[in-house]
Amino acid sequence: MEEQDLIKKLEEVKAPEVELASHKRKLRAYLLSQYPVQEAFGFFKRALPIGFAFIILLALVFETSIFQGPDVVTAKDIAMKDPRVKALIEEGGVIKETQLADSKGYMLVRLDKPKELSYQDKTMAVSGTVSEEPVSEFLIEVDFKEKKVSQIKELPLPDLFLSEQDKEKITLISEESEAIKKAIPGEAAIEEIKPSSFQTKLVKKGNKMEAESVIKATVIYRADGKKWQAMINFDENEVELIEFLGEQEK
Amino acid sequence: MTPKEEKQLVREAKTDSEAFGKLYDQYYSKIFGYVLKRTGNLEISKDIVSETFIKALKNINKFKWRNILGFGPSFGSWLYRIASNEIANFFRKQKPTISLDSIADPRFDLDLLDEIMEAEEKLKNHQEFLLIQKEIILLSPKYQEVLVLRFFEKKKIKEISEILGKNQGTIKSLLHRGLAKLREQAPLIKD
Repeated sequence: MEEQDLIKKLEEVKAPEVELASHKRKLRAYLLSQYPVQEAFGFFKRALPIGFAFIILLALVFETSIFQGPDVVTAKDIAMKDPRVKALIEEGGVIKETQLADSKGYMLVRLDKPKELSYQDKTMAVSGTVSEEPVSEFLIEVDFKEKKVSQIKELPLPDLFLSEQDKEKITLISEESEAIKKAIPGEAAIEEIKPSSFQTKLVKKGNKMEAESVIKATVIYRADGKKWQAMINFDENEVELIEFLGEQEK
Repeated sequence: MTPKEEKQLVREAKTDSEAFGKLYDQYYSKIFGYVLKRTGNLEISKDIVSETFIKALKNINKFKWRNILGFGPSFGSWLYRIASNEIANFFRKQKPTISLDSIADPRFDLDLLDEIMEAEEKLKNHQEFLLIQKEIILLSPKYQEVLVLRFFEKKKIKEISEILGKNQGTIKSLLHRGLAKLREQAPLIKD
C-alpha cells in the first residue's frame, strides 16, 4: 500500500466514541472532594524557607551576642554604639574602609561637605560644578577586648602638590596608556598637569593600621583647538578617567 | 467555551472546585477517547484517564497559560500531554501508578462493570479501527502518539506540536516515519 493510500485509509476509519458514564461521575466526585488543592510536598515547600530563615536568625544571634570576635561587622557594631561615631555617620559620614590588625578594628570615615560652585569657561564652551570645600576624614580605632572605640582621629588634609618627579611619572603613564592613545590624538600635547584630588587608604604599619593619602593628577591635553583631560592615579599607575572637554571657539 | 472563558475557568479552578468540574466536563470525553484510541482497552483507559485528571488537579497551580505568547500548551493540550505521559508510563511499567479501584465506591463498581461490558460490545463494532490500532500499538510510542493524534483525534500539526511540545518539523518527520513503519509492518491493512 502506498503512503497516500494508507493516509486515506487512516483518515476514513471510524474511531469509536465510547465513554464510561459512571467512571466519569465517580472520578469527578473524587476530584472535587480533593479541594483545596494540595501541592505535592506543599507543606515542605512552605516550611523550607521558614526553616532556613530560622537557622540564619539563630546564626546571627549566636554571632552577635555570644561570639564577638574580631571581624569587620563586629568592629562596625561596636563603633556605631559610640555617640561620636554615630553623630558622624548621621551627619553624612561614609565608612570607606574597615581593616583589622592585632585585635583592633580600624575604620576610615569620610565626611563630604561639598559646596558646589557653578563655573563657565567661555573660551572652551564648557561649564560645570566644582567642590570648593575639602572633605574631612577620620580614622576610628575599635578595641575588641574593651568592646569600645579607643580613638577617633581627624586626618590632616594632604597638600595637593605635585613634585617634578611626580609630573615625570605622570607623563610616562600618560604616554604608555593604551586608553589615552585610543581616546586622544597622538599629536595632542600635554598642556598642564595639576593635582586634582586625593584618596586615603588604610595601610598596615607594624601591628597597627595607618591612613595614607594618595594624590591623583589631572592632565590637560590640547590639539588643534580641542581639549581633553585624563585623571591619573599615579600611585597605582592607573588612568581612571578620560574625557573630551570641548573645542575652542574660533 | 471560548479560549477567554476557558482561561478564566483555569484561573478559578486553582481555588474553586466547581470551575475545575466545568473543565473536567469539557475534557473528560476527549481525553478518554484519546487514551482509548491509544490503548484499545477500556479498563486500562479508565485508569490512565483517572491518573491524568488527578495529576492535572495536583499540578493546576503550576499550569501557566503561555499560549498568548505563541508557545506553551493551552489547558486542553496540557491535559493531552499529561495523558500521553501517562500512556508512556503505562507502556513502560505495564501499569498505571494510581488506580481508582483503591478509592472506588462499591455502589458504582457494579455499574462500572456493566458499563465496561456494554462499551466492549460497542468497541467490537469497530473492527477496522481495532485492526489498525493493534498495528499502531506495536510501533514506538513516539510514532503512536503522532499517528493517533493526527488520524484518530483529527488534530492539526500545530496542535500536535503544542501537545507534545515538539516543533512542527519534528512532528511532520515523525508522522512520515511512523507511516512508513506502519506500512512495513502491517500487510493486513488492505485497501
